[in-house]
Amino acid sequence: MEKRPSVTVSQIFVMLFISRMVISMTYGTLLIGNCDTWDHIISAPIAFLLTFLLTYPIYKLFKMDIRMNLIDNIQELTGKLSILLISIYVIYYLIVSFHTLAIFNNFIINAVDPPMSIPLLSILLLSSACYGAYKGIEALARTSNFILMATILSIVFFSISLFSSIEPINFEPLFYNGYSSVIEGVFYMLSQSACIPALAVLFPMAKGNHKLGVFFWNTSVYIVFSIFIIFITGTMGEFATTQLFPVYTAAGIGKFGSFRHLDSLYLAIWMSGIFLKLSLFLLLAGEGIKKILGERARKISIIIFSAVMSAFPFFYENFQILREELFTRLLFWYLILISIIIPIFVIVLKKVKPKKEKIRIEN
Amino acid sequence: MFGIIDHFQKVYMGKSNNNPNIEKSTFFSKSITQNIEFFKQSFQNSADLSVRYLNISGTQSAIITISGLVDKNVLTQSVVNPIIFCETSIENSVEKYKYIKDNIISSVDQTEVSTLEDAINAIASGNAIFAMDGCDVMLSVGVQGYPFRSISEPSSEIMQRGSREGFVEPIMINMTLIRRRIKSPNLKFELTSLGTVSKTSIALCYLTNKVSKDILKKIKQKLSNINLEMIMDSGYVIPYLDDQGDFSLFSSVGMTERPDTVCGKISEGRIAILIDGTPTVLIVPYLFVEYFQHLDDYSMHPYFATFTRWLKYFAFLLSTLLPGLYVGLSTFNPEILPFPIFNKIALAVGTTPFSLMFETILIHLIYEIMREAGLRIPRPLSHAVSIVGALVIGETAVSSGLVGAPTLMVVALTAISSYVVPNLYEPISILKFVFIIAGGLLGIWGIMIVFTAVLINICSKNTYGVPFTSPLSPFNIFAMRDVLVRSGWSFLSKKSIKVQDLPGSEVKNNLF
Repeated sequence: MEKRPSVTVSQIFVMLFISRMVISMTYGTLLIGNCDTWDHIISAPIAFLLTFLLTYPIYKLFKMDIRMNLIDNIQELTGKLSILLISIYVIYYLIVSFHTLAIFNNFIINAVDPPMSIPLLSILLLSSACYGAYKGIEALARTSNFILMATILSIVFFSISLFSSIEPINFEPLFYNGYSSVIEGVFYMLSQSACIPALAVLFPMAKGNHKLGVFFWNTSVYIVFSIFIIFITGTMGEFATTQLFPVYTAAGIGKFGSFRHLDSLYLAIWMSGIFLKLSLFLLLAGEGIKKILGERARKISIIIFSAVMSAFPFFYENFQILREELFTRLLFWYLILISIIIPIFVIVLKKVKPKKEKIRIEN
Repeated sequence: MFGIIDHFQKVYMGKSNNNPNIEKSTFFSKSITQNIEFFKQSFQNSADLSVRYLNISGTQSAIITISGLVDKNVLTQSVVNPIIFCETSIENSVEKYKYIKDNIISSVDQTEVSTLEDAINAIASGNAIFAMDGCDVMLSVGVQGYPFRSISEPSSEIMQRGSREGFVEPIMINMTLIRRRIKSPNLKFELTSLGTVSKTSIALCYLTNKVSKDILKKIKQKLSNINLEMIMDSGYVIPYLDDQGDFSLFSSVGMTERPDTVCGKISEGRIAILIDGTPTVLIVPYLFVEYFQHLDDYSMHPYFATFTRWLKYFAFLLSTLLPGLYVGLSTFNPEILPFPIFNKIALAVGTTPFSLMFETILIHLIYEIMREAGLRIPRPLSHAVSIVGALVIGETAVSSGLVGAPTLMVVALTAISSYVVPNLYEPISILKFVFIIAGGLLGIWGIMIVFTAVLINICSKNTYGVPFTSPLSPFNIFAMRDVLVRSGWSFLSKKSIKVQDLPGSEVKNNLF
């Protein structure tokens, strides 16, 4: 088995926290079908608990042999089927990268509309992310610490600058329009949990207490998400449901001394998170390719994937599918497949195969 | 004889004498005439090779030196005079040589040499070689005495308090400056030479109970790979000690001219590399946070040292990012700026002929030209440069409406800030241009993209197995006592942190 890069559990979960925050900052009910934002405060704890359930099969598999990640196990146990199964993971990691870039483009075009070349911005961001993925997990993990500091500061700053703008009247009674908003919210939150399949590859790279890491990561993600919901609802109320990116709109309301319109500043920090997430998922896709085609193909594939994705902004100025519920559902069921079904299948194989081997030897 | 010289030239004059497996010994013959001919051939009858023939009770002998490298008084008193006045009835040349070595020459520093290479090294280092007819060994006597700059405070590392001593050019003096400060027997110097022609002496300096054996091995390996003909300065060695292959603007090799700084660094497990002929001592491994640490921090009150450290971090960010942010925010994101500030900038931009990006690049370039001129120009003329710079750039350019006053202020602030952390001037000067272009083309987002790329470049660096960004990332709360704050000595002295113990380090703390 090749020597794995070594990072700590905290570094891995810092990366995953930032990757999740990037999506949380683009949270908006308009994106997932009109529903009540405030009801999502109930969706958050439900999604929080379900995230533990979704993580469990991958964690269990990892605990069976802490030196091997899920892809290693697939390769060892499934023979020729491994190419198909690993490809499912690679495709998922690429979809997530693509989705992240699409959100970025969508956000820049619809919310900011800056007087500059958006494709150039996307290509530069992708090139930077490609460089990050090329440098490897250790470099990304170390970079994530600095980005985390900026993210935490921006969240604190965001909270302080908006605190005085909260109006209690904006908090409608819960379940005012039924329970469907809660269910939609849970679907949305879980569908964005791309970090769970990432753990399938990342677990063995991390040194430390993995269980504690998962707990802190998941808790912090949903605490921050709940803070966003409180501030969005408290400052904008019903108006939030009409906004494509309410967190961004709320950021524009905040002010600090003589500095106003700090949304651009938040956006810059958010971009560093986007960079980290893109790098991480390109790296994960590369890890899958490495298993199928070897180490050299890993580096080449990262460059090819980035190059292919960089063509995206030229063809899709506004990626409509992202607004549709269908995509959220699709991501959710894909997540179920690669976080629950395949890992359980591998666990079963891992338990059955040695027994069969033993019987064969005895015979 | 010429066969021997050919052999000597093949081995000695450039075919990697660093490899211990290659045979490089040219042994002396018993004939003094032949041996002296060896020297003359080797030095190609160079004018500074001095041979003083002597007759000791009928046996011909000689003292070979290089003029200018020896102290003539010491040579006369401890070598020449005792030999001239020596009378002995010993007939056998070898016995006579031993007698002179043990009883006549009064110098403390004596070494026997049996090969031409060792003898050449010795006389090139300022020793005198005593040779006697009938002996195939010679005596190297330490009589060095060449002029060198006196010990003074290094102008590039001024301290408010503390020692005023700085390194000088001769390596032996520099070694003494370190030894005087660390009297522990654990302090070790390993001498070697580099440069196939220059044969520059290099000393590795470390504390045997602190250093990591792995790091030491890696450094020796890297030094042995240097195949340069001449080593004239520390700058020749740095690229070989730094991460090779990975491009980075930041160096993981530290430099200092202060012996007290070197002592502090080696007490944390680092290795200092002293190079003969230069007052700059190299320190490896060197981490990013160390650029912001100064020896003055430890002689000031902790609260003030913490304040100045934060000033350095801020000045570094300011000098790197301010021009880019100024261009980027003013061009693409003016809504972030308070209205009165934006108003002033807009007014200046409206009355000047160039775009903000071009204007900022232009002024920075002019400043860099002036800085370079100020460095190279003879000192009496430097005032003229300052006056021209201040008047032409500072006054005339603004009053003529060629550049805006806010741009000039930003450039001035950037220039001053970049000298707060002088060792980072090189990366700062390049990065600020990159950020100006990024800001000018893509605003705050362009700056952020470049910033993350630079960040990943810094974070990917490993210096001898230790992450360059440690202990900030990977984070170590205990190490923050001397990174984010400068704690008091009572806390700093609780436990010393060795560089190989920092988080993320792959290097084990192997002690000898």
